[in-house]
Amino acid sequence: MKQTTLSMDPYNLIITGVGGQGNVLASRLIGNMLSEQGYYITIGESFGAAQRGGAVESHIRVSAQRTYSPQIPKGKAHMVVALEPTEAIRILRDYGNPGVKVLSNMRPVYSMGVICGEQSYPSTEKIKECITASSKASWFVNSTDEALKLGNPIFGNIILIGALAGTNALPLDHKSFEKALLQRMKPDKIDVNLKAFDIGKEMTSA
Amino acid sequence: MTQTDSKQLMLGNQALARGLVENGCRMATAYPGTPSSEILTSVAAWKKQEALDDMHVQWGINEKVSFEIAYAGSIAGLRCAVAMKQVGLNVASDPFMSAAYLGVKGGFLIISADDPGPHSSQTEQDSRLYAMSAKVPVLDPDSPEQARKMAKLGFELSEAFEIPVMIRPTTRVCHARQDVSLLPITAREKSAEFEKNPGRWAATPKFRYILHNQLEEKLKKIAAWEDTAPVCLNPSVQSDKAVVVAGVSAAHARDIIKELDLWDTVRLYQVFQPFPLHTAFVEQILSDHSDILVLEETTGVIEMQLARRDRVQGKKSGAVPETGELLPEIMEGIIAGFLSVEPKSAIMESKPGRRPTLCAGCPHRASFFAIKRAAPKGIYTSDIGCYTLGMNLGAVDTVLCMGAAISQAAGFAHAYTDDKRPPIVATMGDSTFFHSGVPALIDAVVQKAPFLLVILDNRTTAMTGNQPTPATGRGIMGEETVSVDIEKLVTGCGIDYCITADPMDYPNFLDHMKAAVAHARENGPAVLISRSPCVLSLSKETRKAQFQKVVVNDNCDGCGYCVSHFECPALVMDENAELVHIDTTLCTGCGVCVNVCPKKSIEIKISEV
Repeated sequence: MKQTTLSMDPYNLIITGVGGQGNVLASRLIGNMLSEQGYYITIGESFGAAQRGGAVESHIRVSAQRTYSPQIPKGKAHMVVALEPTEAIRILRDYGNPGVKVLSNMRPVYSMGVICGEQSYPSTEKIKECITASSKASWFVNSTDEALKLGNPIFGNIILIGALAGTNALPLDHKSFEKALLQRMKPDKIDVNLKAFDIGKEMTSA
Repeated sequence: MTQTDSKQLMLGNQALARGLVENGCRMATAYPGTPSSEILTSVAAWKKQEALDDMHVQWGINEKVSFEIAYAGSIAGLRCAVAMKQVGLNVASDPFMSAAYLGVKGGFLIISADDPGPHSSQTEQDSRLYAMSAKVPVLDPDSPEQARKMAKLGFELSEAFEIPVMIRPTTRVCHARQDVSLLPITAREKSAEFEKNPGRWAATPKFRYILHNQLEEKLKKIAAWEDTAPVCLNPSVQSDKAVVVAGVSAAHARDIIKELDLWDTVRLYQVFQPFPLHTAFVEQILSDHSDILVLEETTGVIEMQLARRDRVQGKKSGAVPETGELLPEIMEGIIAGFLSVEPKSAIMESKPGRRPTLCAGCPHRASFFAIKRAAPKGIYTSDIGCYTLGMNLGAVDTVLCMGAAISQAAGFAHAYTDDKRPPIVATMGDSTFFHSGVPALIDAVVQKAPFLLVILDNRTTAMTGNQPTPATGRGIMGEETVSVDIEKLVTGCGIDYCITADPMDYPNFLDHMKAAVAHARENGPAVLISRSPCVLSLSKETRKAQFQKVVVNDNCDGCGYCVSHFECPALVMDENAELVHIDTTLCTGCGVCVNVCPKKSIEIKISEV
């Protein structure tokens, strides 16, 4: 077991988003990157009916000591990565605490309530204000916009993995990402994904 | 068998599948259902990867058929398994109960995945109660790794006592991903050999009584079988109080008791086989401990076997909620209360999240829209699948269980007198129709029930991850197989009026729908097959070829009719501008919404050449 120190052990990471945004793939790639380094990984995934436009959340628990249960207890997240900004707020309400950090994509995915005009969607300023007030540190990125520049909004999740690496919250780097990609992607898809990772990393690197 | 260093980050369902193939499972069947669906796909993946040519892997038409196929393999001497979700076990309960009496030859596992919460099920039922009712032993894994190990243990238990064995994972085990160590796959050379014994395999009631007695004898021995006995996780501790856990609650309890600094204070026991609970364990725990807290999902199965109401706290005593998941924060409060310490975290009320909706470009949306136009003020019975979401469109009034849309439609038709009967339209997916719609349709024909059945034929089992249906023409390995013709099946049931139409060709489809509704009201059951493939299964090329650029023109006054009656995620109400716009990242260019706007403000833009 390679012992790299984690800032917290277990480190509790939540990835949240809306069905179809690539949440499950993102959590799997992060899990593989850390598992490869010898950490014990447990990921709890929620999917099923939620796939069709519902909220999808993955709980990733990383430890150098032992295997943890697949659910992060309420109020105990260390980092929330949101593919959709209001999902970050929803997660913070349940799993937030004064020490939590947040990395959020700012591109909204409107819920059916908003689409139908039953609810209103908060402004970007309001979302940022709310996240900043309820976290210790926060990063706001436009990963969907950057992904569109690469030709497909689906790269948004990969850009966020890069951005997470850039925050140095967890030992994630270009090399381990490449290794994780090689395990599950066709060779012709590797380069564009690596590029997406690097774009993301650049966004949050100090 | 040697331990290898090979470890993989694996989903609980994959780990279970791995356990099956590692231990010589020769036949595996399933009907898909969340959270169990990935078990069989993973078995198929390993069959392919490891070239396990002798292994038979298949989706069954429903859980009962899947069960019976795998069970026959077992009485022919092979190790076999069938997987389903908990409500699927309701469908398979008939053979399940009977197989317990007859027993097995080759190890036979029934994997029934429970869904406390529930996250994607009609009920929170506890499959372990079914195991109790059938008198079949059940194993309750706490993690993917333990699920993998329980496949081996289950086969051994099954063969040692010639009894079916249930493995009951829950959503949090099925959908957890953890490091799982891989063991080599052991080939089992055994070939099928069915030894005739009609007294057993075709037992008459008189012999069933004898078999029942034998089953009781088996259970007594299984309640003393060491390999599945409960363990104390911190045996150096001596305490008056004890906590008993099983399944994923065991995984949470280990974390919580450490977190509360109680690991050296209270004894923690983990039960692997909740039924039959080991007799020696029951005696020991009741003699060593004055107060016992039991934490399990979803019903108090262990609790009810610890028959001392005065000393056992759990669901029946009111200490533990009888509904919902035992989330870690809920368990922390219960454990802290039981041991009179302060919980470290506070429970917060959750806020409801987003409601799911049909995908942009989903053909079901077009079908539902046409149903509401053709049969306004109708009664709309529906069923289990993505199309349950037609509820958001006001086109689904009832959802009971797999196959009920047809029988409920018939029931409503019979309940109303001819002069008061509203139009009745049942919707059912193609996979559900095969699963359990056919007998109900035959019944409706015989009884001349006046309703329209719309079969939403998207050529796949979309809800659970696009598994093939009997009409797909492909099996789980991608192999070519027979495609069952739905039209022929429908007419074979005795239906005279059966029309097939494409909902994406909306104006034409609406005409068919109106005609079918009218025909059904006058003449008894009619069927409209609404055929258009699931958008998720379309190739990139097809999607590109079908794409039509849709735009909103100046006629839009923001009335909101399209967003509330059609509810396509790609049509977004822009509150500030008070207009609707199209989210181009979501729009599939199906063009159906052109027919929706009463003011003709949505149109297809013909691209300039």
